[in-house]
Amino acid sequence: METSACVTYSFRANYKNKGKKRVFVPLGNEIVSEFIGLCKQKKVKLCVTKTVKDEAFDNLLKIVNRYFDRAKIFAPPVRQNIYLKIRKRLKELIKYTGNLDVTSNIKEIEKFYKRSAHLKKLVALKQKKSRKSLMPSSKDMKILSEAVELNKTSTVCVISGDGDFLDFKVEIKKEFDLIVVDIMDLRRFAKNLL
Amino acid sequence: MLSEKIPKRGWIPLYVLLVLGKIPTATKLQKLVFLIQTEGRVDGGYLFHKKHYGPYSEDLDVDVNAFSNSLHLMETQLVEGLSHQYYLYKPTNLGKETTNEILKTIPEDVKKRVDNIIGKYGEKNYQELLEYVYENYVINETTFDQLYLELSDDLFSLESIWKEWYKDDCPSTLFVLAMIDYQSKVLAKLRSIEEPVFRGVCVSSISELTAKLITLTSNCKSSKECPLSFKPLFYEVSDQINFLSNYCCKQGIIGDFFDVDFSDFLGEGELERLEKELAKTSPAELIY
Repeated sequence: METSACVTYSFRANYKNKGKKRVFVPLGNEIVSEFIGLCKQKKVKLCVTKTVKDEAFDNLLKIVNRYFDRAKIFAPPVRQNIYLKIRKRLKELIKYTGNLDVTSNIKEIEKFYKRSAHLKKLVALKQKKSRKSLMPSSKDMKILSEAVELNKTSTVCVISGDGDFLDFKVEIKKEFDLIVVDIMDLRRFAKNLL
Repeated sequence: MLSEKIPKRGWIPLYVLLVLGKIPTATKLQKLVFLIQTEGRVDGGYLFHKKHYGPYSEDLDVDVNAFSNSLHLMETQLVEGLSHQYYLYKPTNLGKETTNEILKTIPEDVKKRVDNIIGKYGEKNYQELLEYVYENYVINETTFDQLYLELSDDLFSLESIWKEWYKDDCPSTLFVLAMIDYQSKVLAKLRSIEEPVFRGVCVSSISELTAKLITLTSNCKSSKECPLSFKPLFYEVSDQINFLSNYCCKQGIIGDFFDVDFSDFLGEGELERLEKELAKTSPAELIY
């Protein structure tokens, strides 16, 4: 599971409004939750690397804040409540998946992205993500290199919602024989796989 | 085991009796237990209401009767005083043994806080304690209105400073802002609470927490460091908000700080906006 899949799964929080129980469910959460449930049931191994775990924890609060900022709501006690619940859910996920410390070679991933054929897609991603660099973050490249490394000993599918992986899924498959699955395609993927 | 028959809260009067050896008057026992719970921030204790002699707990009265008459953990003697009769409480040997047994289950930090309170107030007589408790914890409406304005001003200033310092990846600044907002909400809710003891305990807790937050703010301001760099103070603040939250929750003033009812902090329209935002955006789209 890549960072975006981990945070999409974790972003679910029960809360009370006027004493009634309700639940926050962002787009994609049901799909990832369902998939993880199915994997648990069918004993399909889910794996999270240490890099993914660290990136997921580092980003949780930022994401909560972005939702609230977009909705133009401050309410710190509510932000904090949602953040704590999501963090707990992420901890539970990592407890289940473990977090592998993988030694990998990031250089080959850098080379892969630097290919001139990939320039157009990278420019589009740079604009979409409003980032300074043309290249994906070093953490994302490290995550991909870890998946490539793990794929050498067993078949690995990367579950992601990140354009840096999804927009290159055909090229990644061709170059590294590694399957990248879009979070939103997980239902179809699960049908074929399980 | 006898200790298992004693209600959880029962260790407080038994322990204060064990430390002091004897307690003259029911009023002193009531006030000491009240102060231990309030200033020592002990959760899960007795519920106090305003009565003729300040905060009073019927549950404590019931427990003391049971400890004296049925369980024989303490002796209650009726003493002829100069002007009136009063009760003198002493622990029995069985009471001492049982209290020591229960103490093994009490966390050290809680015991330490209780010891501080006993050290501070244990030697005072019932009249001194009564005056102190009345002055600080039985708050009439006029006094409350004045304290409300003062505390609201402090909280408003703190909020402005921390809003300026707020970083979207810093959980500790969010925690501070959440505490400030929560306290403001408690203060607002207290306006409709008629029980003066509830008001007194909350206002005293908010005053203490606000004072600590002011110290934390000035430490952060002068050192330009994260609030977490001041660990002991940060822990004290966390402890204090826990106490306030548990107390408010128990008295039905407002929900738990760590599980707030969103309607206390968000309007219907705001909640709708937030839910719409969640429904159309995947968290994955927001990690950049």
